[in-house]
Amino acid sequence: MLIIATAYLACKKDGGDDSIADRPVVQSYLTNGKIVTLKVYKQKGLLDTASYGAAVTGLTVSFNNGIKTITLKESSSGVYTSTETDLIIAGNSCSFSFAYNGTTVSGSTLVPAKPVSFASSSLEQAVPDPDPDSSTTTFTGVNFTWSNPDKGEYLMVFKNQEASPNRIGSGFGRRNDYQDIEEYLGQASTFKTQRMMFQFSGYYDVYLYHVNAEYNNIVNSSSTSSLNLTNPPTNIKNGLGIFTAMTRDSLLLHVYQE
Amino acid sequence: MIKKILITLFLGFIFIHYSSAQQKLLSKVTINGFYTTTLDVVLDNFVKTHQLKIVFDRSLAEKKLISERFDNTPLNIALKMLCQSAELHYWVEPDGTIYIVRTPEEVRALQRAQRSSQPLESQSVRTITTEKVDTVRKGGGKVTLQRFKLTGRVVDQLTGESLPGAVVNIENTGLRATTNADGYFTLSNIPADTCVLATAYVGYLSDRLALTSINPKEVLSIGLTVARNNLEEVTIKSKKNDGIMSTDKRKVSVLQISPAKLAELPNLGEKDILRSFQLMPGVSASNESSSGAYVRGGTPDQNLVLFDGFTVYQVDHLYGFFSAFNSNAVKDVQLFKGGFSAKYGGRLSSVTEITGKEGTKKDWNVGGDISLLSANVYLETPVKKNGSFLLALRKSYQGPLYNKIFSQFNKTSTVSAGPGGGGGFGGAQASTTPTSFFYDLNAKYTLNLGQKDLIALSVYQGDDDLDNSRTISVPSFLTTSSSSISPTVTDKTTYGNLGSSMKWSRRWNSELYSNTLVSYSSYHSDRDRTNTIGVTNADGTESSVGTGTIERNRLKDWSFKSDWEYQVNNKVKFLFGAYGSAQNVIYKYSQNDTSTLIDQSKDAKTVAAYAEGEFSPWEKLQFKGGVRETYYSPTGKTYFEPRFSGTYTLTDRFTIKAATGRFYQFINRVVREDILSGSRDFWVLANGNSIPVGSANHYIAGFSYETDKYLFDVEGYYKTLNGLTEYSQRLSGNRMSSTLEEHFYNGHGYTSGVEFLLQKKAGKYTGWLSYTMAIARNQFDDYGASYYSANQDARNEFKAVNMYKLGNWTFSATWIFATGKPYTAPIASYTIDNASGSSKTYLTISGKNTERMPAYHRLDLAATLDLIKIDNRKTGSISFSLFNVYNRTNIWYKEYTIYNNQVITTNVNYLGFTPNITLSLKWK
Repeated sequence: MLIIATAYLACKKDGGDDSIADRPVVQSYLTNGKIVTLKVYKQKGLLDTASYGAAVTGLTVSFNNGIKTITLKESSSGVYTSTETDLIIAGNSCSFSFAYNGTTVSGSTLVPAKPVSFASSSLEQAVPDPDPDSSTTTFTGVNFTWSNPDKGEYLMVFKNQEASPNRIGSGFGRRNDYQDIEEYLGQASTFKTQRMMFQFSGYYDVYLYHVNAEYNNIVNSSSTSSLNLTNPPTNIKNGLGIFTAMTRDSLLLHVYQE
Repeated sequence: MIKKILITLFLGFIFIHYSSAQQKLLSKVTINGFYTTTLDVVLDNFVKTHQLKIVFDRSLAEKKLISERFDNTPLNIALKMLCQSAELHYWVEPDGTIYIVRTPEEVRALQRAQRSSQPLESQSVRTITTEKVDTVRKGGGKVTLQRFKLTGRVVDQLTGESLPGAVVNIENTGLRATTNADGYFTLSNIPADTCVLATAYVGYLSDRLALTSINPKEVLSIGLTVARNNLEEVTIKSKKNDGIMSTDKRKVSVLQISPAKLAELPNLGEKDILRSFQLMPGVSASNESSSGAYVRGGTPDQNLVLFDGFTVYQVDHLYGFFSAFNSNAVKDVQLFKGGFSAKYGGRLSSVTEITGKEGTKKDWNVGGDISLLSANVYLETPVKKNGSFLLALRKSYQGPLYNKIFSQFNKTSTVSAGPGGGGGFGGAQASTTPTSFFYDLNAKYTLNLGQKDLIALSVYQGDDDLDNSRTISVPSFLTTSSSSISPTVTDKTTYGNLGSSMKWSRRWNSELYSNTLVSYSSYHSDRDRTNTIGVTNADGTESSVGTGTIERNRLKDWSFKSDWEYQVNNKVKFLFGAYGSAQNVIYKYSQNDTSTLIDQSKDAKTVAAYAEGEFSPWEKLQFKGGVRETYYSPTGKTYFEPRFSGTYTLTDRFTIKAATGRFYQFINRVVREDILSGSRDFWVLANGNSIPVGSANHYIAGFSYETDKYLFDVEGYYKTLNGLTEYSQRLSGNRMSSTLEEHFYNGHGYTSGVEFLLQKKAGKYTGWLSYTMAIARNQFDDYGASYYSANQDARNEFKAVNMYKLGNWTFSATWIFATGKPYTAPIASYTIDNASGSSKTYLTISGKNTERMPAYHRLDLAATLDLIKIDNRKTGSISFSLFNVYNRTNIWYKEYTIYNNQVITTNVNYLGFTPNITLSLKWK
């Protein structure tokens, strides 16, 4: 009898919250002056080599910007958008919700104030040739400043305007493709460019985003390889992913090889 | 009738001493003469001229021709010469009788033959042992039934070392006592004359001493000898245990092991005290990476480890593979698995009390062990008349075994670090020159001040220095000539413990005993995992900048303790005492040379007092009730802990037992989530809010059935645990500024289980089978509302320990089977883009600990050969040990990495088949 009981206990799997695997993933960055875009897709199996999970189509997504409620339209499969570009107003609270598998998936976020007094020490950035046989070594960083009396969180993105930007130097030992540069700055009010930041020359749009703390908590959480795993943080109720608002200002920077 | 016969025997002043102790020959006799004859003639001559008691097999001795010359030769040398030429051994009994034998087994046969042929003719038998008895002789055959009190001390016959926790009882009565920390016991109300005093201690041969006529005013000294493999069993009536482990049926949930016998178990490089407990029921065995005790679903930090009275905070070496205690410096180890006495406090689950060796009081000795892992030497010597000193040192060396374990933890000894995506010209090579080691040192000085006072000074220091640092040599054509400082990866972990105590114990009189102790214990753990690069500043100066993680944990503990025992009579004994400690814990976490993210320094003062009574209102019933009250300064509260335990002997063989109690814990060792990327754990003091004071209730019941050779023991337990703490760190920010958030998750849990033990205690074959069915479940709000299996939960554990003695060899085999540990696994993944469009993949995971590792099992084998001198004393041993004989792949943990959008699972395994050889020797 005891042996049977033991065998039973030994085989019984612990009940756990496996329903998390069925939750949809939501991704939405609300930015002032841009349309509202909300992507919804499924999670992937562990051995699935696809980049993203399958899109969740046919949802009725309602969106509220603190003043009015609209229904987002599915512009491509799994991507729900608005047509207006003036929906994101600093200081307002935005929210969304949709019904999925018998539950209501929802989220809300506060739109931060627009960045103030965004300025740079120079409009040009000279970058020395990084190749080993190069003799130029001096690098003078460009200093960006803005006003941050309330300890807001900031993010800076450098976006090359070219379709296929030119690599600085001969490309010795480097084969990586161009990618926008994103620097999470936290509660800073200055940023100085670094030597290794620029591998491609051309005109860059420099965006300063005033973001919510949730942005960094969710996007920069480091749970991809851990031994005692925990679920990644999210601000989506009954779902995963991120729904956050941000406001931005921009400057232009010309980057060239010295 | 029996009584009458006994009385008759005693009237003849017979002293029977059934001990099989092997003695050093202390005779001062010197031999002269030249012999060319048979051995029997020589021996007969010795007996005649020197009044010696020599027993030998005449038919055998007649065949041995001797041709030796003795010129003032000491007796022991003469015997040695004779035995060598006759290819025989000699054996000395405690009473001075010398036996000439082929093998030690023959000693018993000769004794029996001798006894039957000369029925208890006694004069010559009474030599050494009678000195300590016999002052008031009972005269005229009249037995006075006056009852008397007896105080005695149980010591090791050879070294004079006191034996704590030995059980002394008067046969056929319920009178029973356990020796205290200094080996003393007191029995009162002993019925005169008709009794035999039986003494038992694990790993030693039991002793029976007929109390004929003794002087109650003197302290009776009882010498026990280490049980030797090759002795035929003495047929005695009392229960005995010459195995490695003992459980006292009159105590609840207590295990005792004999360090003297440890060498006979299979080992991985070292005779390991704490590991051997893992073979017992109720202590989890499937933790190769921790020598700490997972007792009854508890974690190692819930186990109080005391060494000579001070708390040891780091109990293992080399990532947990070896316990920090040198078995050559340890005399006695007891593990209290639950429901323990009010004397102990501050931990939720269990207590391991280790008593260090004092060192011999008779003659100096040097000895040591060498194995594939470490070298170990000890020195023991008497100091003047009343003192003794012991020094033991152990240090690992980088032999094959060390490297095997080290590389198990540091898989990548070389890394390729090509800049900017690397590769083209072979990149940069990392050269590893790890210089890692551990060492420990034990020193103890003991001084007897007269009959009543004893002062002991004990120091323990153990350290681990694990260095996996490497310098990355970048090929010259790749250097950007920015700096002459080559980049280095520092990967250094050091941890250790320093403990010291000064103890003063005093036997005020036969009823009152006190033990007062001041101690200091400190723990340190440092982890430096940084990359250093050279940087040229704007003004042209060069400097090195380190980035990575630097962790530092320090703990200091000053304690005072005074324990008192007052034995009113055989039925009532009181224990009381006080305890005070001041602790300081520092934890620092920094990411580079300049910024410190966490910098804590916490202090706590603890004051406690306890009182406990041991009662035995009638013979069969024995119970203990106690209370402990503790004041803990960070919360400003007092904590009340009642304790209770009792046993009832239903029949001679059948005992039922139960215990309960409440326990508090004020200091926790929290485990970091990621064991490879940081130091694995560190100590923190409870503060009452984010780290609550832990509390536990124990409920234990069981029974044991014990015969002369077998023990069957069953115990069930239920333990509630409150105020459990888990820890995680979350780093957020970027390279400009970052913040480290500390999360303390709090929850509660329970553990319960049943333990079965079937032990064969004596004979050529000894060992035990143990089966434990256990559940350990926790509930933390952060992980959900329902209970989940705790990390250390192992549902079924089966252990078989088998030892067989054959001549000078001991063969042992242990097999362990345990249900796999629970773990948390990813069940799906998803990818999201950040605001600038670069993607990142995340794992969603199952409920906490819902998955199970495959079962853990392994077989270990060992063979130990005792090296025996011509006079039959053991001088050492060679043991061959095979760990994980059938090379079972036991999984330690799983790692997950995301590669090419897939989630790749990597198993990190425990050690496979590993052989080892250990040589132990002592000078005399």
